[in-house]
Amino acid sequence: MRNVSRKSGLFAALGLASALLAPVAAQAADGVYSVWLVENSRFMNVPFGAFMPDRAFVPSAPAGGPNGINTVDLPVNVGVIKGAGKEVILYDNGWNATDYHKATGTAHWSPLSKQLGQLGIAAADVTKVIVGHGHWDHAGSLDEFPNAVLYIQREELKGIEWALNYPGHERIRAVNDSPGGCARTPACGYPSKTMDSIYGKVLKGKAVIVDGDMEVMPGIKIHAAFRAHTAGSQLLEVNTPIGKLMFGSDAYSSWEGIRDWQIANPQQTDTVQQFLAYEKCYKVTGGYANCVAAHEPLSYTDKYPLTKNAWVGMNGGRLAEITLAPGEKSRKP
Amino acid sequence: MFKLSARNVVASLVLLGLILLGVQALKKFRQQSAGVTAPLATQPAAKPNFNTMYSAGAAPDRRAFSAAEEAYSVALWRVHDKVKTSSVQLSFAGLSYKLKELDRAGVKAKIAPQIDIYRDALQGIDRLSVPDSLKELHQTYKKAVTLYADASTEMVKIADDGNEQHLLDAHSKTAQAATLLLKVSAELWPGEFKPN
Repeated sequence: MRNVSRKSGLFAALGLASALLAPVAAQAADGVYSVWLVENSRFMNVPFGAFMPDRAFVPSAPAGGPNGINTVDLPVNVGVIKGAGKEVILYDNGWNATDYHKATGTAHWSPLSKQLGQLGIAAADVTKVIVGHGHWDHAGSLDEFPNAVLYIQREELKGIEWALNYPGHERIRAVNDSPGGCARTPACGYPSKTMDSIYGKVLKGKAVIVDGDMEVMPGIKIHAAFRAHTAGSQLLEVNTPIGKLMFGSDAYSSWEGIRDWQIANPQQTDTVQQFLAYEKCYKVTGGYANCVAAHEPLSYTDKYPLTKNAWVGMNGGRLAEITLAPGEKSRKP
Repeated sequence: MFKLSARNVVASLVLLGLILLGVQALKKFRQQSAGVTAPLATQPAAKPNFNTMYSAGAAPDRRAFSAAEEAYSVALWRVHDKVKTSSVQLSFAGLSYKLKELDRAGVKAKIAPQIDIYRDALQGIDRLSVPDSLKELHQTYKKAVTLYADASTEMVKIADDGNEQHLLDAHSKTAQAATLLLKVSAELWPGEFKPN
């Protein structure tokens, strides 16, 4: 009798403890995320030196060496971050201006919303889109995700508006006055359609205008990286089973650049700020291995180990399964 | 049979020279009729070529335009330059209002000049000489500007009644117009925006 009673008490205590601890366990799982990388498209045959000045092609340099590669193909990478609940976050957003495919030397493009289908994620399920910056190849599919809340830095909008209204020289403008392209002018890269889509999100109450650093939710944190690529660039720290990841959009255009401390894709960029953004990844993640680059040519290969667990999806666009949270199933075929 | 003599050799060389000169002249003629040199006459001054400065991608691939097409493209660019800047001004007018950086009167003040720009643009578009091959594109562009004109007229109404439905109605027009602008610029000025 006595023993039975003791045992019953023990079970009751264990039951009570597990009931009390269950929410804590769920909370912990909520702060750990699965992550995939999706190649929304690929810009083909880009002169390496134009992307990374330190990697400029030198005809006499050994082939394949630092200065022995003439052109590279640049993926347009989008981060897909999934929590234990219904939370699905995109870091960057690719683009869908198909009229520009020929003009930009693009290949392997598919609508991002359809690409997510390969991961079993519907466009309507995307809850948040956090853009590293507002350029058209990073914030160019907002209209495909009507339920998602956009996160963009106020500083990014201010930077564009400053250039838009700059009264001075014709080259110091948000929009170019040359049909040949706006190159690296102060706020190039924001066509009418992209700005209209960003405005549309704000108008419909589907946007958060971020001022500097911000914790979005447990395990997800925005770090401001102003002028690391554009006026209001922002990084995203994500807690995962393999440690913290740091997404960098075009502040981290090249993973090799972060590893070797070389600038990449300088547009409206202060190179000191780009290096400080690199440093942020080293400090937060403990090195360069977990820095997630937007246009790294080595993406989806063994040479960029974080992204090596890859496969080829629709229209030749590649995907990588970076890490799975407990209980999450693999999407790799 | 052909007999190899000094006289024949000289004659052959002269003939070859004439053929080469003919090919050169033909090449020049073709370039001119394709409009390769024509724009120089219509552009006010030479400007730096951003195509060679920017990073990404192979050179934009546009078919060779005729002189008339090139002249149209150059003339429409002058209109487009103002229209696209103005279109982003519309976005920012709405953004600033939603972010409480502008009041209703401020929105009106910011949009009023844009209405003038679209009116002038439409007049400018109607004055253009349009090659048959670009008539459809021309109509597309005109439709885009008309949509922007309508949208801007709709947006200023918020100053009168504060009803945000005006902004939503206008946005459905600007969203369509922006897509049309992209379509035209991809055809006429494919290097306008590059990957970045």
